[in-house]
Amino acid sequence: MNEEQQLIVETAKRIFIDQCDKSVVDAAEAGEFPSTLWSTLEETGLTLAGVELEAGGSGGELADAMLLIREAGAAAAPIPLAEHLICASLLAAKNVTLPKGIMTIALVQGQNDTSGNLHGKVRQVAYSEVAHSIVWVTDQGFVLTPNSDLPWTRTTGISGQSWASLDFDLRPVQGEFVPLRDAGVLARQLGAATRINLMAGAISRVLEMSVQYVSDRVQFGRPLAKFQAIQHQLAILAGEAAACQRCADAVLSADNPLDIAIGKARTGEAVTLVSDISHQVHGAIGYTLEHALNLRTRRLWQWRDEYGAEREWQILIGKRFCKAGADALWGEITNAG
Amino acid sequence: MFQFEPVSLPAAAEALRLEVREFIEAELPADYLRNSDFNAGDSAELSRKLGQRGWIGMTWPKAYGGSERSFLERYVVTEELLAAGAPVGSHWIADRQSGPQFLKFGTEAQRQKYLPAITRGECYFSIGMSEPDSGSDLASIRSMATKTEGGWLLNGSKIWTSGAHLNHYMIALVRSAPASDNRHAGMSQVIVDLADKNVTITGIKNLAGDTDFNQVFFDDVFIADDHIVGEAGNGWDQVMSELGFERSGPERFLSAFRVLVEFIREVGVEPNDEQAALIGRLLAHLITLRRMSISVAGMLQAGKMPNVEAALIKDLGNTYERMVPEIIRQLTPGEVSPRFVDTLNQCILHAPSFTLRGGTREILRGMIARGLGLR
Repeated sequence: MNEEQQLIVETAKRIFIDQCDKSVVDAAEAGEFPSTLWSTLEETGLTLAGVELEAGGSGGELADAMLLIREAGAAAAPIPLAEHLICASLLAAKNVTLPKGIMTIALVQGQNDTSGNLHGKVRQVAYSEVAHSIVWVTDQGFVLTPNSDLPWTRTTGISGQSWASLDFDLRPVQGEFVPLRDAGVLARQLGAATRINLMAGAISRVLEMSVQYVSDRVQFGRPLAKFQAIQHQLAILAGEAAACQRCADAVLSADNPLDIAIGKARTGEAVTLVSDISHQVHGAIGYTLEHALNLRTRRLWQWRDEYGAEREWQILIGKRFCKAGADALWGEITNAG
Repeated sequence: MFQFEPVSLPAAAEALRLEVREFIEAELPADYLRNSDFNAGDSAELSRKLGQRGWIGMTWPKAYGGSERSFLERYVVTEELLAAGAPVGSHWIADRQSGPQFLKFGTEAQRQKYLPAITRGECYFSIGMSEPDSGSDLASIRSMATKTEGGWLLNGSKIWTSGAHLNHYMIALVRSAPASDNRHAGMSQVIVDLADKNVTITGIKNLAGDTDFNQVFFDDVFIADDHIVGEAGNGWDQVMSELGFERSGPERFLSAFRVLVEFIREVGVEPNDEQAALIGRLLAHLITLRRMSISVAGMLQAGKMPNVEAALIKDLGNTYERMVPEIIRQLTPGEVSPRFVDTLNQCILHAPSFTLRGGTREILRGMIARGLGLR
């Protein structure tokens, strides 16, 4: 981390401690968006960290934004930092002026017609209820529209966050179609990189919470931390957390598809052990809504599935390495750095 | 909680990598059954050739035959040898831990005597830690050196001593004073000449049927005063520092690597989705472990003592290398080559040792827990 990044991380930590405690996350899940938290981040320029100055962003590197997102993951912050960043990055790539307010992303399964209008459907759009603008992304471009009065169908994801779907075969999305090469793949890769960082942040916080809990909780006359069975479980958890941090560090600039695939596969897989162990050592209290552990574990269960669950990325990695043949495997691994 | 900062290998290390790769490909016969387990094969001939190239004791001072190269360069050489499945067992321990032990604690005379020979690939060491009644509980050892004129008389025995029948010396941890309330006091590290007539070496067959490890008996073995490593009585602290060298290297996650190579050979360049997913899963683990291990090499280069980080990598890496054959066997195509079967079976037969040698899984997890502040 450079000095600027350390400053960003410190600032973000402070803001999340002050303005993103459990009551804020609970309220968000009940439908009350934490607008004060969002405006604080907006005023400090953090919501557009890593987006070029010329495009209307706050400047800096994409890594700045990813480190911020990792802190948001640790805090289980119920705000669309990741979605907003993906949108801003796509717009900035084509010098489209960033709109005011919150943006979210809709990955379109469908096509644009000759006049540029989009036909198709979108699924699992996050933060549709609070976004002011939507960036509709197809394979080779995007359309930016205001988020006006659309007949969304909403469900609630495992994290408690609302997910919206929309079919627009008959009533196309209208707006200026901006061609951008491989926009769909780009958006998915950026999306996966944000999830890797969100997960790494949450997992590291889950480890801290677990260490704290077993140190405080006394059973059979001593803290749980003194039982070898508990110590060994937390050692495994620490190993997974360290591996996830290393994966997240490898995708800070989100410019290497292989690192993103590795990170999403490895970090997603870690969630199984991390949630298993953290819940087990927390006992029944961790299984309540009252305890803050679930704010992270429920989000981990969502993030591991978003932008492709492990298997999708594993297949991509596997096919890529097999292509070169058995005797080239090691060379390919060392080339991956 | 534990940080593994990204470290990129310098250009010099990458150039060295290609040199090692080319060398080893020319050395290994086509029909050689490659095995990435560092303990799987011995070849004094190969070790001597590696020594000639300056690839043993690489980080050591030139005055002792070393090349004064960085830990990152050493990392590259070790991982290339393992990935190729070369028989590196002869010199491995001397290079990895006995030599560094002499550099850190040895006398000038000891360094002069052993280090140049080690770097030439001509002098091999065994580890003398475990005893029949002392495994993970190393402090309970009973082999005893009793003071005599000009030295010590050693009695007792060591067990699970890899390569004792092939190697020249052992650095043994022994009691040099009777056990006291302080369990860690009164121990010393001594150099035992394995050719001594009062040393008896008895092979023990492992479950694969190989005789790699041994029990070594000491019957009034004379240890001259100048054969103590470091200070008499300081053995425990020295041995703890030695274990730090032992744990973070690529041998802790590459032992099963050739199984993955041969599996890819069997499935071909166009695997089905299930096979591709399995390979992708294993590679996501492997590449991440490798990056973490390189981070630790970077810490060593910076003069740090990353003992807990090393324990963490060893535990993660051992878990991974135990997993490799277990999941590959279930997706093996119907008809496979004898080479694949042999590679897989060798790995399965030796896998129980991965999580025992160099500190059991349980000991490592205890160390990690201590690092977390739990004990």
